[in-house]
Amino acid sequence: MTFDQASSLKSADDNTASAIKSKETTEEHGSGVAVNGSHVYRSGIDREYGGTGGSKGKLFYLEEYRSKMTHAASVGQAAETSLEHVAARYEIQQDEEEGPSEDFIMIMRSSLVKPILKCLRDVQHHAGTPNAALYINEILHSIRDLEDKSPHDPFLEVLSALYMALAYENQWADYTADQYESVGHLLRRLSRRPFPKPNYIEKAIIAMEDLGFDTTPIPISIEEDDVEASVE
Amino acid sequence: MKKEKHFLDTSVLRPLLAGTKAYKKYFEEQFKDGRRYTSQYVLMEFKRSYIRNILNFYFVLNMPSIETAGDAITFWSNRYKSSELKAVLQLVGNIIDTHRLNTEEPRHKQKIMQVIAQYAKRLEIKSRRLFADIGKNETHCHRAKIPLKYTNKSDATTVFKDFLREFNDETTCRNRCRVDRFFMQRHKGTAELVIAYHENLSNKNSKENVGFSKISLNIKEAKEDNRKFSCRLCEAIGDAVIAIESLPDMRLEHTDHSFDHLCAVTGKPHKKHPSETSIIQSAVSQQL
Repeated sequence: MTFDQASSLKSADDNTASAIKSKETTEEHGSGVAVNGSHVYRSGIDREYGGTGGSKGKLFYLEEYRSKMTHAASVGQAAETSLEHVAARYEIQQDEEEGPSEDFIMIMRSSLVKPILKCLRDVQHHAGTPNAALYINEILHSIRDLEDKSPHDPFLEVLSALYMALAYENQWADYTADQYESVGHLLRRLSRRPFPKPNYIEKAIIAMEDLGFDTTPIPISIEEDDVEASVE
Repeated sequence: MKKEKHFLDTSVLRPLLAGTKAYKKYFEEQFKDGRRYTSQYVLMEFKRSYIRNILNFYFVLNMPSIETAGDAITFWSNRYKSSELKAVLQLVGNIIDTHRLNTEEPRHKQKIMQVIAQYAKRLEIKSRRLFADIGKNETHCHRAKIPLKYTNKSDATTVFKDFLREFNDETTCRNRCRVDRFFMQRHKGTAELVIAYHENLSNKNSKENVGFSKISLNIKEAKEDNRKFSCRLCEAIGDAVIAIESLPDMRLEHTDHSFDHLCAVTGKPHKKHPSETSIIQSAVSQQL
């Protein structure tokens, strides 16, 4: 999967893109380049990508960003560099066989989960009022965005549970500020793990249920008589 | 004060996980002061009548010849019997609406599959984790032991395929279970009491008694010819297994008439709850 689609959906962040572009130019001509005070060496990139990291090597830019990530105080801070746009511009590729890399997951998460956490914080001041709809709408939009752009992120299991708990028949209107705060803490903790174990995902879903979020709200009825009748 | 123990039959477990808001609220109120239990057999019934149907729809949608969710819905409507049909279509329709997806859009097919998979997975997780286990599987039901094996690497399609392959292999499941011994040896006396109770029952075909009559007749036939014990038969006599497995210090919670008779035979505590329809009707009449 490439970021072509993302690229067509979003305009690149001009500042970030031009900053990267200037480094790209330097890199094409020289051996190493300073990124946030540290050097990224071509030889290292060549080793990682089997010698394909020439001047046209697309994956080089992921390495460049990884270096930035190392020097960022946190993943959240790294997101300030609008990596989603960088990724879109430079077509970071995923290996379909291996699935998404940890970098890919965290880059996408840093740019798309952060707004969700922020909205969960902001909505606490408006819980139980119509104003909450603004924040909820943004949360739902961000979750759908992540589903489109990073469909293999295991964190989506939990976000999808939240989506259903909020969106189905406007259940969001029934939740309190405390519930939004608690679910925000829960998501923040889990979002730090690139590949949480299935056990953690299960626990997070049950924790949401314990907080009062109904993650399977769709009523379904099966008539027992039909099942019994079919046996005879 | 000692907490009451509630052993949930499938007829109560299912609405607790996937019932209407009013019905869920009713049960939450009923069980708020006690501990909730299920058994592996009850969970198996939930998977058989509910999770399996959702996964079957998932694989219909996964067929290469099915281009859109709309095609899958049409295919499903033409093929399956009413209870499965209604259950799955209700779910899929609501999921698609809630996620703002379009049944006629081929590009949405993968996303619809993904959200259906996530929903089915959540139901299974909730059924397994929200209730304590009574610690008994006296029939040694093999189906009840078949897990949905989630790992970091495996995708939903592989997990579901493995699960369904094993779950639908009724010959292997039957070969590994001990349901015949359950009725013919271990609980032979209770099985005979059930049959005798049924023979003395007046008005066997009334609405309240017809379910119990089917159970009793099926047990009687299987006792006469133990080759009749099968996964299909278990669908008909499951209530008897659950009533017999129920523990004396727990109250069996159910909505089926058949348990009134079965628990009268076993002498174990039970409570029959009102149907979903009557709870909704009373909620509506309170609002008026």
